[in-house]
Amino acid sequence: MSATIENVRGRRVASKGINRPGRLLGAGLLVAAAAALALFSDAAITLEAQMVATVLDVFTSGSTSSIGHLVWTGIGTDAIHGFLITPVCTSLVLIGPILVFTGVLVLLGRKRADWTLLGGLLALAVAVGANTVRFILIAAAWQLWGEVGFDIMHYYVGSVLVILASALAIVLLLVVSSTGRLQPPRRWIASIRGERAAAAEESR
Amino acid sequence: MPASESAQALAFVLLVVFLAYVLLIVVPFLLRKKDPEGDPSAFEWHVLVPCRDEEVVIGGTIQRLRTDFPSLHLWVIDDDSEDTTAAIVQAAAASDPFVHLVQRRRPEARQGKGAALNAAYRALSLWLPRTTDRSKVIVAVVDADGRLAPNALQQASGANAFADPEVGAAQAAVWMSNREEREPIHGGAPKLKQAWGRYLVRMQDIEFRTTIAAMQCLRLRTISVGLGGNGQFSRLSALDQVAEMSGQPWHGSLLEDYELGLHVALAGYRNTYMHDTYVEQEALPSTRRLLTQRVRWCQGGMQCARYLPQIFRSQHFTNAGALEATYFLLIPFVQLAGLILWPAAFIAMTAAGAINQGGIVEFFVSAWWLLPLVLLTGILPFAFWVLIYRRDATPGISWLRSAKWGLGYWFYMYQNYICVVRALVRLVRGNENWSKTRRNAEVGSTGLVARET
Repeated sequence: MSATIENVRGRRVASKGINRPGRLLGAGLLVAAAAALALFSDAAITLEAQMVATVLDVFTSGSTSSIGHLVWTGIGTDAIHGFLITPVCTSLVLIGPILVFTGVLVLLGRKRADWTLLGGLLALAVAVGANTVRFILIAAAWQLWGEVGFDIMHYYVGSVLVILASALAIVLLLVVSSTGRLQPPRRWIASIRGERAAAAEESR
Repeated sequence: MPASESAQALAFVLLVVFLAYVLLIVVPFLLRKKDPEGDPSAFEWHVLVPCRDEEVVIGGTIQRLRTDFPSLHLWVIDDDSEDTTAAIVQAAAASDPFVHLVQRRRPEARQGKGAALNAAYRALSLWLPRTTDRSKVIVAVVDADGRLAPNALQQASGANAFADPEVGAAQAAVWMSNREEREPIHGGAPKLKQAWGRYLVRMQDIEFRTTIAAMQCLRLRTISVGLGGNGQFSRLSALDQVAEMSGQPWHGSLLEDYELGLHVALAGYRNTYMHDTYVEQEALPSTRRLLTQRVRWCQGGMQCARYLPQIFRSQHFTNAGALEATYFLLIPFVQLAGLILWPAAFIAMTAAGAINQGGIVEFFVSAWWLLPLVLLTGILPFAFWVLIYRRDATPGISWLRSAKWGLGYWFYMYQNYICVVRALVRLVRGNENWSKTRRNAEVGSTGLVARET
């Protein structure tokens, strides 16, 4: 089965042969990685807690540390806070499905494998990045505004951020794997600019 | 990971995929530009109107179509009606050479809409001179109560439609003709029932003019536009090619229109969507009839899932189009999964919370923060479509009414879950018999919503 290249109109412009065993192997590795993360989630979350503690050290006062799934902030200050990375808060919940989805796209053989892998990588970056930002917001808000800040960031701002970013990550994966492009098509941008210019003209 | 948290994680994934889809359809919809119009005289126009027991509406439809489109040939297929449908059409045909009756009798008749359309296709092919350029003949399908917009032929002749030789089929937008009726249930009904009927009609209008229109706009980008039963236009040469490839243009699934679109695409043509023209049809003001219709559509969609391997093998489907078609055809099955996952996640979260908080009531009191999140991720993705509907269809309505319609639209969408279950049961049982949907104007009927063939 051959994959195809398509430009922004979705037209086929060329085709490139990619062998099925290669796709099977690629897809298998991606799905196996997702399965491994699920099976060894304890160890993975522990590692994640260590990485989150390192990142939070930059954005919070005092120093940080992690023990198991717990991340401590504000060490050396009057207010030491610890929060637990639970199985539904961890980035694994985002990484696993993206890996599986990328693997399925690679296996289906309709898209260029390199574009699909690039799309997967970008999707992971967006999703994990958003979850990391959520941790930063939660920790910083807790230090600045106490329990109220924690609640608002944890339950609302952070949740909405991660949900929307994850949706965007899926969109990014699909767009990049289909078209190989990272930015919106020029004519979309031109259309937005054209409409804004027309609206500005009308209001004068 | 404990099972309860796995359920929550899976539910989260479903939510994210759903929101991603909403993003994918809303952006092209908001960014779309108006389609250019063309010259209808460049084509020959034929409209097929399949009928069974349509005496209440067919006379008006014939008059309207012939008045609005004087150059249009009308082919009314009488599928062995038991009322005066055939007589009405014959009378019209006697005085108007542009009106043609395709009379069918049992046992060939009453084998479904697809069979009726195929009969008309054969009749049209026999009627056309041999020297006809069939690539310039456009065949539209309109319901017996359908009303084409005055600019339908100009839009269909445009550069984005049949003026492009790659286009094999086009679908017009669909509006509900009875959306402003105060009493959509004819023949008298209590006020509450009429109010419920008005609600259902309005929700169907919102659905077709926003969500379904947005899906079609995405499909314009992925080159995978789907055809509907009303307001579909096909190039006769495309139908010929489908017939050559697979015996006849329309096939036997319960979603024969979407199936035709797949065949046209597999034949190498492109389907397009015409948002700037429309066909009007009656919305159903009765829950029972609406569910019957939607179960039939859902079952038809499930039947069309058998085309997925062909779609994936086809050189004529783009990568994005193959993926979009996959998502669309798998939606009923995803909804079935959601039917299990969402309650499972809710139960798991409630159980865990009740244990932690010392009781269910205590948990719900402490979990008040969930409400805004539910509003944002569960209700808003449906309710926001009303803002677009307000902009495009009802600019004068109050914000309060918009909010009510938004909530109503969210609630209306739950009918999908009832339909997928019933459709699956019918599919598993191999029950594929369906009949036409009763018209709102058929007041004397005993309440049957679909007569089984």
